[in-house]
Amino acid sequence: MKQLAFSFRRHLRIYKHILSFTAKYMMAYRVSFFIRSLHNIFYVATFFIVTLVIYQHTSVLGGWVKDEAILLFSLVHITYGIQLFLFMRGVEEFMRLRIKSGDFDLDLLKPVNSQFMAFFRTPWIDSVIFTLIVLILFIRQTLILSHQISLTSFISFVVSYLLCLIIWYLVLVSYATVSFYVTKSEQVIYFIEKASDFAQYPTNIFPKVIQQAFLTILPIAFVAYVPSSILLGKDVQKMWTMILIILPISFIINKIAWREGLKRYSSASS
Amino acid sequence: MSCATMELIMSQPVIQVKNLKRYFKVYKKQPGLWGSVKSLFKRKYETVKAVDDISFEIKQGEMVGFIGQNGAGKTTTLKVLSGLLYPTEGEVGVLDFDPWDRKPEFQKQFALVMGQKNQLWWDLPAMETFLLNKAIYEIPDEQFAKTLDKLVDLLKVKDIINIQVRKLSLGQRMKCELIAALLHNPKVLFLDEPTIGLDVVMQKNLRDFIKSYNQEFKATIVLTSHYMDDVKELCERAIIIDKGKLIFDGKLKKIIDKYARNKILSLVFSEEVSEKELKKFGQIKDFNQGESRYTATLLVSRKKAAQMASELLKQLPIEDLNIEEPPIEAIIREVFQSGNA
Repeated sequence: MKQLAFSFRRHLRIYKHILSFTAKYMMAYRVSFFIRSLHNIFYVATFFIVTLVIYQHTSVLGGWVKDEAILLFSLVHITYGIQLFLFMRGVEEFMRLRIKSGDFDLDLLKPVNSQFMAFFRTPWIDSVIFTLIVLILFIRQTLILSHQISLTSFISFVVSYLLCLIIWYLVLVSYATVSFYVTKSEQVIYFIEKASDFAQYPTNIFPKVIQQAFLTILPIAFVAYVPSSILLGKDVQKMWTMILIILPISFIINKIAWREGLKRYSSASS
Repeated sequence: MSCATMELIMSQPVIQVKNLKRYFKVYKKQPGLWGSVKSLFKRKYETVKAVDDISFEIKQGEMVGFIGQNGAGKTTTLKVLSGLLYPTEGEVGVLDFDPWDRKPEFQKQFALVMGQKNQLWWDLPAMETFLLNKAIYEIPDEQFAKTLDKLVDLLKVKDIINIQVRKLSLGQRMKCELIAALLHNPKVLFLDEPTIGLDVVMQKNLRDFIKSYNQEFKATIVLTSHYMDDVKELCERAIIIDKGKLIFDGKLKKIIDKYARNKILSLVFSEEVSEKELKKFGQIKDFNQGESRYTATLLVSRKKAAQMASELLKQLPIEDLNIEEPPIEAIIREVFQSGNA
């Protein structure tokens, strides 16, 4: 345990350096920084409008009223903001370029966790602005719905949300290991990104088969639906059961997929 | 440490390779558009034996040159030794570690510098990468400052480490790459084409640096290079690989004994001689009978070199005669071309 804490602190120190580099880099290209930030805000705004339009035609969707749906929506985009900031660009680069070009060699040579080096090396600081906007929206919705949120359910939500983030990371990286076998596989991540758009709607509005898929094969329900349900007191026991089942499974799959993938890694010719 | 202890340590192998094999399965694409369409549904694969059953040991402090043509298996071997690739078969030990376990204790003791890949952050000054490596390799402040000063001094890069990497020349970048790789004082250094693309002056500078690093830190260095000058100047021992097989492992000069069939006789004549006359003594490589200078270069069998020289002195108006070994690169080229390998 002590060793784990030490390793965590060490990786945090390295990450601090990486963040500082990225910030310096971003400041050097500020126009690009602002344009990307605007693009992200525009992207989120379009989905927000779609959600509002849907609720002009109905008051309840799968048991979710408008304010609950907006909370779900904001949490989805908080997750996307966090994943973009932390590892999504790393995952995309890994699948599109680093395996194919053999640049992954440089990550493997370092005496640090190889997944950390591969996926956390390129934080996307542009995502901060839009993440803050959706965070404000989330806080607003939480206050509106505060009559149905107890302190216990809020603490339960925070813990479940962190675990769901871990599940989502483990699953994305497991998919990324496809690159070890097919060299260039960024289409897989683009597919997951597209499919993730469904995470903005309550999972229970979809047919049973798709619901199962969103909880297992492509667990986008963990992006926001599961923690939101826990926050709003909907099927709390079922949601926690799902987290406790999927978390160890995704952890084991991630470990095995990564280990076997590394064995298959063939680098690139010099 | 006593001299005897030091000698004992130096005599221990730090790299052990036994029957190493590394095969790759590659997709064989048929030519043309139709070939591409067919490959969507059915593909033919073949096994490429990049490294095929090689064994060797390298002792501490040795500088060894890996020689071989493109695709001979040099880089693959270095990548297996660095733990980047899993071997298909065989045993490998570096500093008593299995490289592909990739233990941090092992990774902190070696460095791999690839001439065609860079770890420096492109848009930031090299100094930023050095600081990142300080955190990654957990280098204490004092050691970092001392090593950095020394390396910067040896490579004469004081004025460039705070300039954006993308604004540096290839040679300057390579020097900074070396610093980034050596900040943690690795005991084993793998250099894959470190001088590729550099001009001759820069090549010489880097060679001098590698030599002094080896002497100062008693580091074991394994070097691959297309430039024979790198190997000749730095390494006493050479390992030649051809099509994944090890064909020679020994002192560089022994390559001449093993593979050179001829010696070179350089001749200066006091008066004009005919080409026909000269042909009787060996194969003419160069014949120059212009104005007041009469010279020629002959290739003669190694066994008969002394006898031929004596005959030449007797029969022709020789002013000066030199017997030389052929250049090592020519011998190696001949080895690969003739299929002696």
